[in-house]
Amino acid sequence: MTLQRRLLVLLLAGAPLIWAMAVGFALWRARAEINELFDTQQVRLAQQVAAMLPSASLSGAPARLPPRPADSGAAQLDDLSIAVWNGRGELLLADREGAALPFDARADGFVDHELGGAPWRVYYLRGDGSWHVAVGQAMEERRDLLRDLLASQLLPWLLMLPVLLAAIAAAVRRGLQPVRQIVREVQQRRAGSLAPIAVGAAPAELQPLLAAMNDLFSRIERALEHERRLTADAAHELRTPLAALRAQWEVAQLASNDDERRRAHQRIGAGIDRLSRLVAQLLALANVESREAPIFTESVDWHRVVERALSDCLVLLDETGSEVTVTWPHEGAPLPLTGDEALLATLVRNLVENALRYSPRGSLVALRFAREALVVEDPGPGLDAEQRSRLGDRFHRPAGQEQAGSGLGISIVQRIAELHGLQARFDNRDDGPGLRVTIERRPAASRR
Amino acid sequence: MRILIVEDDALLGDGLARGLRALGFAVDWFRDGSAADQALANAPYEAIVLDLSLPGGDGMDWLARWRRRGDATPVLILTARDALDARIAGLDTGADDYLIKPVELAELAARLRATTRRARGRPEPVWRHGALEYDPAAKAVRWRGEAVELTSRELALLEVLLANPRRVLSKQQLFEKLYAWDHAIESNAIEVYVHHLRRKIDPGIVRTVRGVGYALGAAADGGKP
Repeated sequence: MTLQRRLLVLLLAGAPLIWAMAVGFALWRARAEINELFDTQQVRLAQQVAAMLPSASLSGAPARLPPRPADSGAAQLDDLSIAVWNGRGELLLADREGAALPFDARADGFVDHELGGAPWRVYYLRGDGSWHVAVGQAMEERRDLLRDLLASQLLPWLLMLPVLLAAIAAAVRRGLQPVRQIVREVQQRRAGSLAPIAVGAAPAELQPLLAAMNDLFSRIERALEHERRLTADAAHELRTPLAALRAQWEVAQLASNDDERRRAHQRIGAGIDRLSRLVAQLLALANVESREAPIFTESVDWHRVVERALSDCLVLLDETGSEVTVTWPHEGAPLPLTGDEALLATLVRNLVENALRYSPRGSLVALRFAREALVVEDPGPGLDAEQRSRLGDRFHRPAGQEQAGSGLGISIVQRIAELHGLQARFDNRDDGPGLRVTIERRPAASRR
Repeated sequence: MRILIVEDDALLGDGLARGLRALGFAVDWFRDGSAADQALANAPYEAIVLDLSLPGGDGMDWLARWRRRGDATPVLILTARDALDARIAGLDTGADDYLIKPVELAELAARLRATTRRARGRPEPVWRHGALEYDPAAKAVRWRGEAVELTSRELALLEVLLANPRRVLSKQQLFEKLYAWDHAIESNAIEVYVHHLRRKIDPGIVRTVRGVGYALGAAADGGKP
């Protein structure tokens, strides 16, 4: 249901209802006033009649009031009756037009009677036992008055109702104009447009919604930009390995002897390995980059993580002739954490692979677990300040790099660490040449 | 034709060097700009194949430096940077050609021949010297209309002589133009190839200038009846 229809229904149903309640209340009050007025009149009339009784000769045949003159104004006397009885119930006086009021010796005050098929209200005034006065009035009189009052209330309402409804509809439409304006603005956007909607001009109720939308837009934009850059970088970085493959393949075609051809084939194999690794790293990065920080529930078994990571490094260990030593804290679990072991294994593998690649052949790479940290140390050349600042730039590889890396490893490490509330710190070792990478908890303030 | 390749990627540099050698170029391959810079200062190259993303300094900076100091050696940029502004910047900085990786060796070789041809001021693809015709792309030589079979070394020597028709070249100069540094060759190699050229084409094709070296022979003009 649209907001406009909802408002219209509520207002159009609500307005007559509230009006009906107001009219009901007014009628109830009017009825009380009418009863009060008419009752008072009846009582006064009865008292006046009673006051005249001693001077009137009320003997013999019951007296009749004289017929009324032809011109009695707008008086309607059928609805009013007066009767006077003596102590024995003999009618002494009665008016001509009204109904015959019944004698009731015990009655004193108001009594409702059914006279001539119509309800009457009769006021009995009892003297000292020698006379009774009754003034009756048809209830019809009071009801007529109420009906007239109701009609006079209802008519203007019914006449004005269409105007009121039209006014409400117009007001609702006009009130919702800013909403339609925003809808139009969003509808007319081009598919890729994520520019923020102007919040300032919108009504206060819509501003939080618009602000939330704008926030979403900017987050989507950042994510898209991220993806675009990754794709562009990836396409760019795939060119060199592809060019190398192409060149080596052509060398194989041009080779004039078997030996040269065999060497070219070996290099093509190496090129394919490199391309495979680059693609695998790209996929790993795309995977971790696209994840929102999840809620991890599994607590991490670092022994399993390291087993898994080092199993993936075995080939590189053989190729480099280097070794990895793993040390655990003397007591207590190392770096207690909930997380994804597969991702953490990727993190450890990337750190160890980097350490192996950037160290001389036959080196010793140390993987040390402490109570609150994981440290990877290599005896390589370390990094200068400029190189450290560029770590984590995608596809950046330090100068003089013999081993063909993807340039993505550190980005992957940093992202996985971030997902686990950890951070990676890169320092040159203070106990000799080489790099020390420390994986530790991020200070709470910098967590998102 | 001796060329210089500056490419940091081991696999690609190796492939380019070997491939171009197989296509008859003398190739020196360096993996960073400063080594290439030293080589350029110490040996005569007819063209440079330059990668842009190099460790220790961008290729563009090296190109700008060479042009500033007046080095006019033709430079062919071979890079992964395919953006229009990168191509424009490369050519405007002084590159003679701009190629995006990956590239076929045959095209790279053809573009190297084209840029060196332009640099020498010889627009026509077939070189003529009297009765001698040489087509560097096809590596074909004709003397008085008849094909002459030459080995790649003999061709390279002939090419150097044809490229410098009015110069006397010392044995050392020929040596440097013909051979990359990693080639171990006998000291009398140049004499041997000169001898072959005289035997296969015409005794007057190469003139000996005693005490200095060799020059393209006037006999090349005298072939006409």
